[in-house]
Amino acid sequence: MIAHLELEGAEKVYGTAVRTYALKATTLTIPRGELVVILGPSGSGKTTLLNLVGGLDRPSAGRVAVGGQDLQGLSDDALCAYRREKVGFVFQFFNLIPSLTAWENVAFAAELTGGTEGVDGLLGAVGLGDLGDRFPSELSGGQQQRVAIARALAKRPELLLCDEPTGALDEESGRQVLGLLESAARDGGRTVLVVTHNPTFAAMADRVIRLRDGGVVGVERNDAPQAAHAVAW
Amino acid sequence: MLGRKLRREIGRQKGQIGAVLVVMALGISLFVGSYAGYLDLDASYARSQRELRLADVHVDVVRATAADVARVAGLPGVEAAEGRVVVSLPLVVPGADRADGGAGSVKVEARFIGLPGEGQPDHDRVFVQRGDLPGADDEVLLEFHFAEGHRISPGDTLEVPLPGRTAALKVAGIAASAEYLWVARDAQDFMPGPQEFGVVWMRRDGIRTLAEALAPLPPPLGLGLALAGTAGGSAHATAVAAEAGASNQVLYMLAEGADPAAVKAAAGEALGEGNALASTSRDQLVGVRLLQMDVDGLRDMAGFFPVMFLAVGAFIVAALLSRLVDAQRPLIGTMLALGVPRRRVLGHYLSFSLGVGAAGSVLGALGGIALGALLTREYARELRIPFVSVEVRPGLVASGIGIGLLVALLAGLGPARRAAAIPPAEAVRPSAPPVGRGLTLFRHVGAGLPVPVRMGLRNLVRHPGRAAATAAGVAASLMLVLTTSALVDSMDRGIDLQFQEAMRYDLRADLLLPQPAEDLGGRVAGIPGAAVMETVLSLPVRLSAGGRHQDSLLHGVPRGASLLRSVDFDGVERMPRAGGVVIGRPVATKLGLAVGDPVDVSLLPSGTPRRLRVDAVSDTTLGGFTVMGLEDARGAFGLGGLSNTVLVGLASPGDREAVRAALQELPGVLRLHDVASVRVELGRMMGLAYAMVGAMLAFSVVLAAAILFNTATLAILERQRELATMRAIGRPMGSIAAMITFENGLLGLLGLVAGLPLSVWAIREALALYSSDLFSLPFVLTARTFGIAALGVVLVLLVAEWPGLRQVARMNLAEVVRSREG
Ligand SMILES: Nc1ncnc2c1ncn2[C@@H]1O[C@H](COP(=O)(O)OP(=O)(O)OP(=O)(O)O)[C@@H](O)[C@H]1O
Ligand SMILES: [Mg+2]
Repeated sequence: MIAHLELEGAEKVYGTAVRTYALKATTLTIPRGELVVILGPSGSGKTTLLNLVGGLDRPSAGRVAVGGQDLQGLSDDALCAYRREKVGFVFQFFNLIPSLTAWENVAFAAELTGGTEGVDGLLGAVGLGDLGDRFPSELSGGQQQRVAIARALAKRPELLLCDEPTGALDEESGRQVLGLLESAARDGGRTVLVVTHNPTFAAMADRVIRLRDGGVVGVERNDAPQAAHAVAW
Repeated sequence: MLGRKLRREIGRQKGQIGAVLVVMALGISLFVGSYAGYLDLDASYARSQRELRLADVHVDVVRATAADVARVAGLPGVEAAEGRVVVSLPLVVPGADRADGGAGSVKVEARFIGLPGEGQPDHDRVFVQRGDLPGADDEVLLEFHFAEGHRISPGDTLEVPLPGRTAALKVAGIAASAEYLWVARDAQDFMPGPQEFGVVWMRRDGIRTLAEALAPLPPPLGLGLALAGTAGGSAHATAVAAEAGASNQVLYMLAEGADPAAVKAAAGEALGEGNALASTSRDQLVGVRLLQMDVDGLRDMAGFFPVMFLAVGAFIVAALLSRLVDAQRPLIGTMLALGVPRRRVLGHYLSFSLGVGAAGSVLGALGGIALGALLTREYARELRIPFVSVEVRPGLVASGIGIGLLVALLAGLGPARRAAAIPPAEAVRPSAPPVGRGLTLFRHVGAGLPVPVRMGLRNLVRHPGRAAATAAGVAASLMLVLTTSALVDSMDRGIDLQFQEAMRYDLRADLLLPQPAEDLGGRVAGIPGAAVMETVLSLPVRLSAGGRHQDSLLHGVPRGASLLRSVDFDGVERMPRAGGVVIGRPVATKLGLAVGDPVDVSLLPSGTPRRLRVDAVSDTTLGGFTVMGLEDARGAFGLGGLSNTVLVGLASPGDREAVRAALQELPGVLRLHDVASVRVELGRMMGLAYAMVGAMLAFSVVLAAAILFNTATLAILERQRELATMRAIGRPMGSIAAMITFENGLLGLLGLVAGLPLSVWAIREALALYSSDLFSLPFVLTARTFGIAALGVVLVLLVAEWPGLRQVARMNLAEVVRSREG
């Protein structure tokens, strides 16, 4: 097993006078190609953990390494390059650029690392081959989130980070989105981290990390993950 | 792809972007256009002066012989010198239709300027527009303002009344001269109408013949020398003109590198002790100065308004971009999360402002080129500039565009840098709108008040920066509109003061020589229709104090005079007591005189100084004069019992023609001064000034509207989400509108309160800019003007809510709620 993600005593503290531990010293190892579900109640530090791994934020102490490279030592520019080349993000509220069409939103990300040849294929893969011309405001929430996934995959990231990707979606769209994330890991060989507060998602994961009050309270391996479409809602 | 995003975003904010474009383009066009116009006109004047060899220095002398002139010409530093005769003579224009609407012949003061026997003089040449130079001694060349004012053409005949007969003069041609492109009689009377004053060129020998016929008039009481040049009469000049080979003006050109002051002193010496009266350098000639002030006005305009427009443009660009960045915080976070470098985010938002700036600048530069050409052409045509030089100025156009880009860049830099500094984690944590520090401090503001009021108040404390910007926008708008409207009020009040308080006569007759006042009074009293009559002694004097001098016209007015008074800008009468004089404000400033100070007054050209006391300082809109008691003046200058000016107040306006005709038939009348025609002339000139101020007012209104619309619209758009959510919750549109209105009303009020002192300051600055020793205006700020401006500003502010509110009303609530971007 090759460790893809490694956290060693990584912590995040907010404030100087009153110190809030958004993430207490955490040590974790995640192998490449796993679908990991991060569970925990609101305020438990899920987003904080994701931000550290994705290079959106720096740890207050400790070490975060991805693919053997330490992130905390990188300059702003290098961190930006890391995000550009290695990481794909999917957000709860999609965060599409409203003034670009679905196709253009994906192409925008694809351009950052290469060409736009793959865009049509990606949109087809998320089931939106016909809707590329639409603006985000002309798409349903689920469709928008699928565009966002296509956008995240457009850069061929080795790491896909999803924060509540189904949080704004109904059951049907949610399952579709989960299916896409699942195949990103299983077929694409990517490491996929999915943050959720819905415990039933644990069933589809290779690994489940449970957080509470900024600390990891449990890591479980799941040797027989369920298929995404079978996950109870 | 980001370029596409930008273009679509620009497309979505058409209204505001359009406003910025208009404002920026206007700013750049005004800059490029008025500056190009200024440069072209300035170059055209300079070229005309050069081509027509307008002398570097004009020296008024008591009397210069050919030998005197030769001595001046031989001085080191003098390239060439020439003597000439300048003499005022009455000239009768036998006319049918007059420009002032009257009929019948008019007697005008004509300034005869001598020409050599053949061809052009060496200095101060003329530019013949129609006809020819005089071909015989009894032919004249007319200055074009005069010819046009009387509709005279070459071939017509004019008359000079002489004792016992009239001399008929044939008009040979019509010409322009560099000295009289603006026809000024002197510094006191700098815009006489063609009905009272004109410039005429005639061969030196022809002038001598006329002067000989007039010279036998006995100069009374040794006054012979007293009345040269400036005003009243010209007995002395006539005497010089009657003498073959004598001159009363010497013109010279400076050699390159000569020191003008040294040459002036040397010329004074060469002409003999006390002979040189006044030495006027080219750019100090009254007409040249006035024209230059006119052109400089264009240059000031090229400075002030573009700066205002660009400042407002920058303000709007910054506001627009700020709002865009605020609204797109999560998006910017997303872009950064996707790995877009910060440089590119900075560049992205900068290119928004640069794009707008570039479009505005290019549009503006094109407009400016057109405006500049138009300005030069219209000015040159209106003023009949003989030699026009128009240049294409790529440098000026490029700097106009450069300035526009720079302004846009600076305006965009702040918001763009803010965008680039957004932490990428904002993408993930859909940020609650940051609560301003204001709200935590004023958590209980407005508690217990109706909801719209409470929310309005809280919005103000929540965004103190935005509130301050809106109030500042209102204050700036008020200042712009109020300052320009107050200029109009000042002009009106200034003219009223001039004609209703200071110059209250209808007709004034200036005599060639002083006459016994009793005879004069008797004759005028006999004219039917002349209801009020006063005789005055008007004398050209030199005022001296502390080693400095100022020439002025002194009026000796009878005690209790009602037709000619000195007043100040409050309309308060300022008359002298025995042994005192009242001087004009510019003279007081120039000589450093205050009330109670002694001042030496001597009769020009070469009287003995009399020590007098400054009793008061008066304000006049046009020119300025010195006032003294009539008996005092007669005593001081040895002119007992004499007057040389008659002032007449008409019984009714219908008597004007009859009284005019009778007055101009009085023996010894040089010219008639008709206040009605002065007002026509003034109206023409003020028409120009009103047009200028009107354009400024229009600009100000455009600017104010742009500021107000943008601040009001943005204040709403910034909170579109918030307002849409309020609607979604079920708050009716009316209540939202009430909240916004309350907020804007409050800010408007704040802006007005701050804008008032700002406006007073700006009005004073503007008046100072426009006033000189020739012209000054009273400070006027009426409640009415303030009320209209303030009401206008507040109304525009409230109307400006419309587009924003309509957008909120039309917003697809479902869509707003679904997408995260506001
Ligand atoms: N900028 C900040 N300043 C101070 N505290 C913060 C900040 N950001 C997050 N926190 C705190 O850190 C803790 C963890 O936040 P985090 O966003 O990681 O929670 P989460 O598990 O993602 O919650 P949710 O499920 O609600 O999204 C919370 O208690 C939060 O209040
Ligand atoms: Mg979270």
